[in-house]
Amino acid sequence: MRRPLLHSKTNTQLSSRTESRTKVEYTGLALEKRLRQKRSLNYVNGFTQLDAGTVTCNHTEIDELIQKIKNEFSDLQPYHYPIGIIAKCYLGDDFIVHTLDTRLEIVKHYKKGEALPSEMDRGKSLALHPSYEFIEVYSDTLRAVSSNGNVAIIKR
Amino acid sequence: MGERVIRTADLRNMESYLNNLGNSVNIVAGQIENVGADLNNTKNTLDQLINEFHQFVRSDQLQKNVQLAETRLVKVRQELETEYGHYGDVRRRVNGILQAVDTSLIKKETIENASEDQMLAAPRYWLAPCLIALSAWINDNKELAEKAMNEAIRRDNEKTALFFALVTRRGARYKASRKWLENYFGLQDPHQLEREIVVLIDGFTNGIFGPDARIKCGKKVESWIEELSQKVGFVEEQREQWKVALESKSKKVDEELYPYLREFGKNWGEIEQSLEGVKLHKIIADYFQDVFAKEVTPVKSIAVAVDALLDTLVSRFDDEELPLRRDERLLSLVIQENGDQERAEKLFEEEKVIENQISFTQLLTNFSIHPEVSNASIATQKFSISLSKDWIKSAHEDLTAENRANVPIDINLSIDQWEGVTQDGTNEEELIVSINNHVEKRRNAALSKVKLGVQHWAGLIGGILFTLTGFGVPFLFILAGFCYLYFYLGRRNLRSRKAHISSEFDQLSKYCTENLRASIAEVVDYRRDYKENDANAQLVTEFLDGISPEQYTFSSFDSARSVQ
Amino acid sequence: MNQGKASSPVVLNRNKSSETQFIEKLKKVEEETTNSALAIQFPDWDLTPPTTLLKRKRSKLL
Repeated sequence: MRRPLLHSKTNTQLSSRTESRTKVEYTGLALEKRLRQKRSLNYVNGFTQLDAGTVTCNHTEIDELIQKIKNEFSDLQPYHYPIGIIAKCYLGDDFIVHTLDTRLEIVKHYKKGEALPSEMDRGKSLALHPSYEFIEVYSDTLRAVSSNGNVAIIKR
Repeated sequence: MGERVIRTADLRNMESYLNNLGNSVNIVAGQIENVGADLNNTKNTLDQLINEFHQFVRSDQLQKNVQLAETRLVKVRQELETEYGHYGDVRRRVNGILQAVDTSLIKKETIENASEDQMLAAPRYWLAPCLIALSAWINDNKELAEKAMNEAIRRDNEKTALFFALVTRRGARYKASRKWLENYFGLQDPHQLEREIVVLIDGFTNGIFGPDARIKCGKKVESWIEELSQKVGFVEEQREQWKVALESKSKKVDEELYPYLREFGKNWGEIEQSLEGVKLHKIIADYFQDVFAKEVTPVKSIAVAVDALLDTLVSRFDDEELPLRRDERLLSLVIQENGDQERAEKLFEEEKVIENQISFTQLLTNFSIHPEVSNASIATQKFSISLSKDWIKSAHEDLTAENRANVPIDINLSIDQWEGVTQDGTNEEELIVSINNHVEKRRNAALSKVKLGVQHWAGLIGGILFTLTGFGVPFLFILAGFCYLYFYLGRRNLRSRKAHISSEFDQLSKYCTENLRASIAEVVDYRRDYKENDANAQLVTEFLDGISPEQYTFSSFDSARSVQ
Repeated sequence: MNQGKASSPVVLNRNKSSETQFIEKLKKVEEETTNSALAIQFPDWDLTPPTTLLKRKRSKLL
């Protein structure tokens, strides 16, 4: 179908994304659009396997997880990555969620009743919900990822 | 010293002089008054004169305006006749063919018009070659018809496509009509659509152009969506609008439900909000199912509206003539209003047909979210929803996640002065014990305040003293007796008060335990209620996933027929 | 998934009859809004748009 010959400036940001995964400075709506894109299965599965580890993950496993994040968002600047991931914990009765802090590069397991750090606390009940595999925590939003990679966004 | 004596005669003279002076002053004052009155009169007369003068000037001006307008009007009309005289002619001839009821009349018209002369007479007007093409076609002159058609397309492809789409429909040539209509849609820029498009969309979604047109034109509109989606912000805007629209359908929780949590739940507000949000899933699922369950029937009124487009298209002034036509109209108005330029211009503005174009984004929102405002038919509504389904899904998923994120994990109960927390009611016994302890503490605190006063102890001591001293003075035994009595009554009173207090606390305990159990029962209900309704989120997703673009058509029949 | 389609013959039949109903109504509307005097004038062949796709006009803002 014919399209108008003149593109608006914002179009170029999108087209550059499809050409190559070079780092682009996304802002505003374009950034939101990118972060709403369906997650790859590889990425999603990477986090559901978080349970398989013991109570404290060793550093190689943590590195692997962080690498998965880098791969998934390879076209974004690091400061746009999620600051944490929260997922259900199946380790035992006592533990209910575990978190990956991407900046400090640590994994922590939380027991029932234990409070998460303030910016992650809102994601706790969401992470426990059966419809979501895990929750990506950002400074201003939460993004809930389902098993098929769909992303739902919670701002408030 | 003698001069000081003023003679009486002189005095009298002076008096009469003074009187005269006074009279003169009065006379002058009177004259001044008259002058004042005269001045007023003069002023009034002057004002009148000024008014009359203004009026004269104005009416003179108005007259001049009229004269000027008349002169200019003649010139404008002359120019119209010279430059565009043939345009009117073409329009008349086209209408002659389209509106004639008598077949012989049509035949006569078309024979006259099946020549190339018209094309030369109105070299830029798109309708002229259309007239020839139409006439040639009816006269079975394929070569001329196609030649004229191509010329018409060259001059204005959009209007030509629309013209033939509508003429062929009116003439029951549905296959041709569909082809022309497809072309027309293909030529549209979704950012700037003519307002007629609304009638045409209603037309094809309701099957007025045939079942094939529904599919083919539907596909063209889908491509508009793709084009609009390229712009950052389009999809986001649609999604945000859908969020607002979906949320607006939520209903308040029934007043009669959850009476105990309403009263004793400290965070009832959060509970209520989470319930409203979760019950929305079913409401939304039902809404969409209702819309899609409604039947689409081809209705005469839509066909009539589509048909009316043809008449408008034919009689509309061409863009080129518009400036002169506008002048003509304005000048006529000035004459009509007797030279009142301002009033004429005001009327002219009011008459101006809104010519602005509309973006498909706005139309889409109107059709799908505010159908009652846009008068969209059910078919168009279904069509728009199916076009928007990805954004609706997205919006709904966001709302769902938000609702889930805001479910209170802890439910805080507050009964009497006791507070406790539960998540799902499984710690009921623990809480019962806690509230009982609370009541006991209060009971004990209250009871401990009830004591014998100093006076009672004084009575006892007094009694003992009197008893002891009574051995010497028997009378004191009586006093001792009174003291002991006083003390005894005090104690009896105390006991009954304590019993009373205790029984009050028994009541309180009962009250607390009953309400606590009831509240916890409601907590369990709430969790279950929430879970059941939360599962309905799936219904919405499934339904939306299940809509195919052909959902609004009878696709099994259509796809068979559309194999061409 | 097309909700209209079904494997059971009962549903198919119901679909068919509602479809035939639709076509009937469509025909009725067509009859009522056709200019029959015009319609019978046309010859056998159709005047259809050229096969080469028509190009979109330049911006109408000019």
